[in-house]
Amino acid sequence: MSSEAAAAPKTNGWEPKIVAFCCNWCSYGGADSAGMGRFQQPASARIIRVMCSGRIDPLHVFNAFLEGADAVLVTGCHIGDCHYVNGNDKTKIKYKFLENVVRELGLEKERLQLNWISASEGEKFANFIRDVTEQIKKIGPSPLKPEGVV
Amino acid sequence: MSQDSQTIKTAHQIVMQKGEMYVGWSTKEDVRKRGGSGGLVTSMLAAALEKKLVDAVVVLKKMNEFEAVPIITSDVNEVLNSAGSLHSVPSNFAKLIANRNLKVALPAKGCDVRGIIEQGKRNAINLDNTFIVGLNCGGSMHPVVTREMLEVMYKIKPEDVHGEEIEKGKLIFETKDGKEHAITIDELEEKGYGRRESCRYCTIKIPNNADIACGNWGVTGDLAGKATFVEITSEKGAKLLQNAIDAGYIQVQKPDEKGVAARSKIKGVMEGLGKKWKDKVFVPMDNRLEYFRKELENCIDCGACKAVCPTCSCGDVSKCTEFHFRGDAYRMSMYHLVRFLHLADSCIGCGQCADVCPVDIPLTRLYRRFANPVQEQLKYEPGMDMRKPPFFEAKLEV
Amino acid sequence: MNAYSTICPGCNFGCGLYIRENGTIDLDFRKSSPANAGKLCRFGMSLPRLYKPVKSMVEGKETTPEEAAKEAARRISASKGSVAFLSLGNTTCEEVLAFQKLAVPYLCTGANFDALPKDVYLTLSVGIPYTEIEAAKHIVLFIDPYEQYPLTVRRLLSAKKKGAKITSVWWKDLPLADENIRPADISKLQLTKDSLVISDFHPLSDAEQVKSVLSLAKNAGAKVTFLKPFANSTGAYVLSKDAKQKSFAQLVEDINKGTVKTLFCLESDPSTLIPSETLSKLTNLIIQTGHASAGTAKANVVIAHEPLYRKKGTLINNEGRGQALGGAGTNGLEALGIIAGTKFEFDSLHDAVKKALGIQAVDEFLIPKYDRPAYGAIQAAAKPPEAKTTLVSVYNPFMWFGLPDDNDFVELNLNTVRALKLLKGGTLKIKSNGSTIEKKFKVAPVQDNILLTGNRFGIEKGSITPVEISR
Repeated sequence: MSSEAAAAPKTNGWEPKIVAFCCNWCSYGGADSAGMGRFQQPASARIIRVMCSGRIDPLHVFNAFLEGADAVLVTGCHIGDCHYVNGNDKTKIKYKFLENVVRELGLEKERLQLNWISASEGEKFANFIRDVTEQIKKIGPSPLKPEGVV
Repeated sequence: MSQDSQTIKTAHQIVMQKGEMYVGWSTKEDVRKRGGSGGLVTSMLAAALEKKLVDAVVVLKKMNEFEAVPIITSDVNEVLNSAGSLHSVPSNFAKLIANRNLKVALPAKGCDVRGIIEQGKRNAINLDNTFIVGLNCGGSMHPVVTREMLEVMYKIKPEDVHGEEIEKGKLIFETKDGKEHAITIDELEEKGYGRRESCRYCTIKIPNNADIACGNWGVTGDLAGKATFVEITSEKGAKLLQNAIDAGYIQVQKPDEKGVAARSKIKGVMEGLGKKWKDKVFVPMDNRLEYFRKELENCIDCGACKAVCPTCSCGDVSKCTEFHFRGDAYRMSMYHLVRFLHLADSCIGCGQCADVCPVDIPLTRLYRRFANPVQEQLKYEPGMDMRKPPFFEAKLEV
Repeated sequence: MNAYSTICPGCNFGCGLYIRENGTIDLDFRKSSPANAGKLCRFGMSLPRLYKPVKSMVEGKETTPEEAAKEAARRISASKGSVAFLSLGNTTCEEVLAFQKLAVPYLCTGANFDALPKDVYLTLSVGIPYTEIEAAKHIVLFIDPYEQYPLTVRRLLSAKKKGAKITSVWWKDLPLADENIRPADISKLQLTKDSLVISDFHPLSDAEQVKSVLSLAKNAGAKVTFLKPFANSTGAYVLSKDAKQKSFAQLVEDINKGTVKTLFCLESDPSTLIPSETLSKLTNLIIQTGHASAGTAKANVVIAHEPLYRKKGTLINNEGRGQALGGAGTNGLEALGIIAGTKFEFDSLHDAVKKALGIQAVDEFLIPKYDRPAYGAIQAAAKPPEAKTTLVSVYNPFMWFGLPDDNDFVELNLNTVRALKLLKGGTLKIKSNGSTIEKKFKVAPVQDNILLTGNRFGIEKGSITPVEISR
């Protein structure tokens, strides 16, 4: 209870900024079907489409955090379904390293998440964004947010 | 003269092979006198150059007791007159020979060897043309710290020092008047002197990743201090040693069992000590973001840590520098974030970055914080073999 | 492979390093160097860029150093009475002594000693040992150590670790400072006899500012040390102590007036200090140097000698430490000899240097005793309040040497950004003296209405320039 009270001022009216990297073939399709299917989801996500989740360099994620993202989501096709055969295997490797740096750095684990979402899983996508938004609202703005950025 | 040719004859009968161990010394008296432990390494390098096994050799050119410059030379005399090993010369040779396409032989501490192998993986050094003479290393010391330590702890003038040795956990300085001054390394390190921090928690004491591992551990009896114990760890190493014997530069004999046992005992003790230090330095901590921000706030973007890093082979145009602009008002520098990531699988913990940081950021400690968990989880030890860095794999195996 | 043990020319700190020549120039860290323990700053790491080879030239035509020196000698004697000699302290003590003999009619070491009392000369010339910085209880900074003299940072951090309080008198909050005072609020500064004041002194220093620092320290009985921007500033000042000198401001004025027609520069790039419209008034610009620069491109005569690291000779760092350069070259002295119509012997000049310093041998581990006499009371004129918005140039080694750096932006605070409604990632228009420039900006804890830059934009008038800013 007391921890909720402490977090309250941060969350008051504050909407987190979430950067979601989506691959062109699956998770971007998922985001699309989330909209088409009219699944309720908060406006906190900024979607960045990439051709393949394997293209997401850890540098892009760092940049998102440094520019003021409160959370960064890496999404792609399910393993085995990659349009480019093994792109998401490479995502897994990069994510492993990225996750290690972000955790060791002391950022909460909610701020960086990986999820495999196919083009037909609109509801899964919407739920994912909603869950993350709720989690981030609880823990407040990212400590890496630059001065003057809301 | 006849005795010399006799030596060569008997030497020819020995055919060096990977996995074998020997005790050896230089046949040249002046090299024996000047170089430590019988001058075997110096003579082996000189022989490699003389017999055209290599085109160049890396040696330390001694400037004074505390100072030596690593140089690449093709002059046999320069090799024979080189400084030998100095505990206070914490240099790393990997970057020196990188991108030069040399056929070269060089002496190397554990971390040098690891750096060279990592450069080899990144195609900056052709390992087939590189003969690595590994040197046992219990740790090196920063020259400025050493000077202060001599004055404060040993109460001797740095100028009076004639020689140094580490024996039975003690650091011993010999002064010009022939006196020996010994203090235990534990005591020195408690007071903030002694070995560099990264050396304290290093666990590579005998460089079995080199072509041949040399050192004075395991040299027993009358030979103590006058010979070098060698272990051949690759075909190249066998070739190097055989070449020196054939050229009449060195003599070897089989070590006694007592020596072999003593060597592995010292290795075990030192490695255990390193592990203890590791637990002591890397205690789990809360509020890490604040810790890293505090440590990095003084960074002046000089780039020395990258320039000196023996595992980095990106050159001037690299991710860490190209995506970093001094005009960015970020809470943490992109440069450091990228380096934290890239070094997570590649950091060998050599301590060079912390040595050269102009604002004394304990960089090696920071990099190791990121590298320890990844390297443990992926069971990857950079620079110990030719395994591809996991970051470049197509699939995560572990 | 040639390896030289040398000293970084970037400032007066005296940082040791090795330079290896092997087709290219590489750096290595000289970890036994007492001033810097082998560590180098951003500029030190850029030295291979500084040491660009230079060729001897007469009016754009390549020639030998001897011919260039002979031509320089002809031009100097032809314009007798209107020749000035400038050397900012970028070269060895031995060359400084030779240069002085040549420069008797008009010697300029770049410092404005004229505007200051005679008895502060040595206090300005020789700093205190860095170990005293580390041992100080209270340190007051009138510099930005990170930008200007980066190797001081670790000494300050070491002092802080031992319990020192660090006060910064600067336009921006410094990470290492315990207390940040703005220059305009200088009256808030509390000094005691345990305080150590660190400031800097260079050709463009404002004499009133220097005087006010001196008088603050004097009144509190505090220690004071001045850092300087050139490798041998201390050597050049100490050795020129009794020589007749002209101030830098005087030199610029004389060129503008036309009484100086020929300027001879030894290891100094005038284009980084003297406005180009002034330089273009010269009939002859003669530069003797070891590396190419913007100045050598403009000069009528270029006399090329070895770069500093290949020279033989002595430098004196800010502590007063004598440091031997690891090279063997003396052709700089030969060229000076041709111009002076004499022959300079290295050994005798070296003996003279040792005599002047009162030492038997140059030993980098020993600091010779310097007489830094107490100076009398100083009256400093009150500084006029800063104009509404000002651009402050933070002089750093890259600026003194005209070397490009990753610093094409200004620092300003969030209030200014909000007031002007500046866009993130956008630019800021800065107007001064009728010209307008557009620059990127960085949000930093800077004073309101202040823009800080470590770059030269070409609109500055001295170190503090009133400007108008807009989106």
